[in-house]
Amino acid sequence: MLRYVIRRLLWLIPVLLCVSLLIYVLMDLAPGTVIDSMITEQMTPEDIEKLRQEYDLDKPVIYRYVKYMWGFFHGDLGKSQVTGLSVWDSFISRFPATLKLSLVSVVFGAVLAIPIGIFAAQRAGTIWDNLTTGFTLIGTSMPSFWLGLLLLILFAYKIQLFPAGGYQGPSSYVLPAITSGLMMTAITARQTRSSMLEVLRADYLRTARAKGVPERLVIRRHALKNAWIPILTTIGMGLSRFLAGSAVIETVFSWPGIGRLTVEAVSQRDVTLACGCVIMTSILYVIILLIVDLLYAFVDPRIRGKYASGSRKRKVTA
Amino acid sequence: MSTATDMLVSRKYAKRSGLAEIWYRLKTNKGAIAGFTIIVIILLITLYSILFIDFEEVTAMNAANRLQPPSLEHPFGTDDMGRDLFLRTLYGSRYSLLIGVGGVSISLIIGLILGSVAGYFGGLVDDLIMRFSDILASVPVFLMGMVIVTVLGQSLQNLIIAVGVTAIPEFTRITRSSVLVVRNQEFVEAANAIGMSNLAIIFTQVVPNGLSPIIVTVTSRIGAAIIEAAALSFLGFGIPVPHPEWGLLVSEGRNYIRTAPNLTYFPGLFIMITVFAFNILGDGLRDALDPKLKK
Repeated sequence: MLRYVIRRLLWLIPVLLCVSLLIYVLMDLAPGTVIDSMITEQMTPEDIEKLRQEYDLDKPVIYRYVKYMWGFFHGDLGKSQVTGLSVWDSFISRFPATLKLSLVSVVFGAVLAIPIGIFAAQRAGTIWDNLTTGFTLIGTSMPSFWLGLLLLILFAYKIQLFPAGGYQGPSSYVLPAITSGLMMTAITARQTRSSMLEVLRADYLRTARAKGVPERLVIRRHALKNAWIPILTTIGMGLSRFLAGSAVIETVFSWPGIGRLTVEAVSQRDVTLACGCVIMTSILYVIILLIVDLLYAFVDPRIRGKYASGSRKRKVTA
Repeated sequence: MSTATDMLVSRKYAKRSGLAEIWYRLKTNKGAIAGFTIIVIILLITLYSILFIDFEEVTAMNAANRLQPPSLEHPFGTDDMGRDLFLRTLYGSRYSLLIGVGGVSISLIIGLILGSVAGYFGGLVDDLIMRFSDILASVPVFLMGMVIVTVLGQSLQNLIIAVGVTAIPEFTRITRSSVLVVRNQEFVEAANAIGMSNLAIIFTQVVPNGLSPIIVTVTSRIGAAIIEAAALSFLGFGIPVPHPEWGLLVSEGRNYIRTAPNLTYFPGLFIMITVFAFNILGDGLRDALDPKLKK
């Protein structure tokens, strides 16, 4: 188990190197540089040259990248090229807002989605199933920014129940969490329904019922336990996506999270800040997926056995 | 030779060929039919807008007509520059369709090549391609899109590229796993035995037989690509103004959300209906192509 965790964490190194190289070089190729907005009419060509040297713009991009990564592996993510603030500080000051919103959204989404999915699977083929399937399809078809704006119009302007944005107090969580939570509900409910459907047909469920186990327990103990893995995967994917910061939802609700920080960094050609955000979110992404994989072992003793015997078969990504 | 009754009987009980069977199942799937109908209607709207709505007509400003509420003359109202939102929305359908189909074509072609090569050859090639795909997949999708548009510049073409590149890992993975399923079957062995080249085997034997999951992904990815592009436009990383792309229309409407919410309602509704149509068609296709999943 431990060996597996270490292997997965070591995998982070090539991921980070490639991802940061990709983003750094791409951002560097973008037309315009960060000093364009600093150049004024009064500056002499020498001043501009000095500015270019200060940002290493006179050297090849690979020099800047290596210098950046050298700093990174020494725990220094560098300074934002626009504001001059430390990238680490900017990221950390914005992160709690995104983390809290992500957790609230995931809990809201999962709590709603799993019962809906079970409900639909138990009534497969009936009008109830069709209704919930229709609801989840509409949910996955709605652009999140539009849903967010609709909720704003209804609950913040028409009936002034919740604030129209910002990040103060519990009531400010409601609308953004519903927006991103509903998006996740739609996807997770569909996943729950289809993985429950697979399990519900199994013989051991018929055996359980024949033994006289109450239906409630059949679902909870026998069926859901075996349907957990795909559901967990969907929730994990949802969480890792939220943690990267939903730029759209944070923009709609003026939420001071890392999604908006990244958008600002990219649009201002702030290479260090953008790269820092990408590296940090990729780390989070890989770690969350690792945690989800480890949770499989927690839910399913068969997978636990596989880790214990040490003969981990190569995971076939389907 | 066969008599008339024989022919009748054989027609009635004839086993449908693979394609006909799929078509039959698709025809009896209400969702797929509904999705298909909506897509045809949107295509007709697009055709109408190409033939009868000029770019000047939807971009010309008319200050006297500013921010009119919906009326018979302007069914969706007018925007802050006095432009008719109904015409602008109809005009915008072409962008979303182009982005959806174009973006998915890019990811499909590249994903199909990478995935089939990885799945067919296995070993080191497989490892290299799949690790590359994993790395590409660990950059948040949206961020990748923003960076690509920033690098290439804002235009329809670059938005299509951005949306297409972000879905490459997904198509690679799906192609690879369906190739893995088909690869070890006897007809592939037979093709190998008669001396077909690897490339020919991949594209004439393996890929066509593992196509179902890919077709399903294509259909539902078109919807996802449309949403993604609209979201990029909404944040200002899309087609530049004054092109009436739907995401951009919603973002323009956002400035008047208190006084004229109709500017937000209608373009968003069109995005939702279009994406919904592709999603239910995708669901129907999945049921038709894979009877196992149904019941």
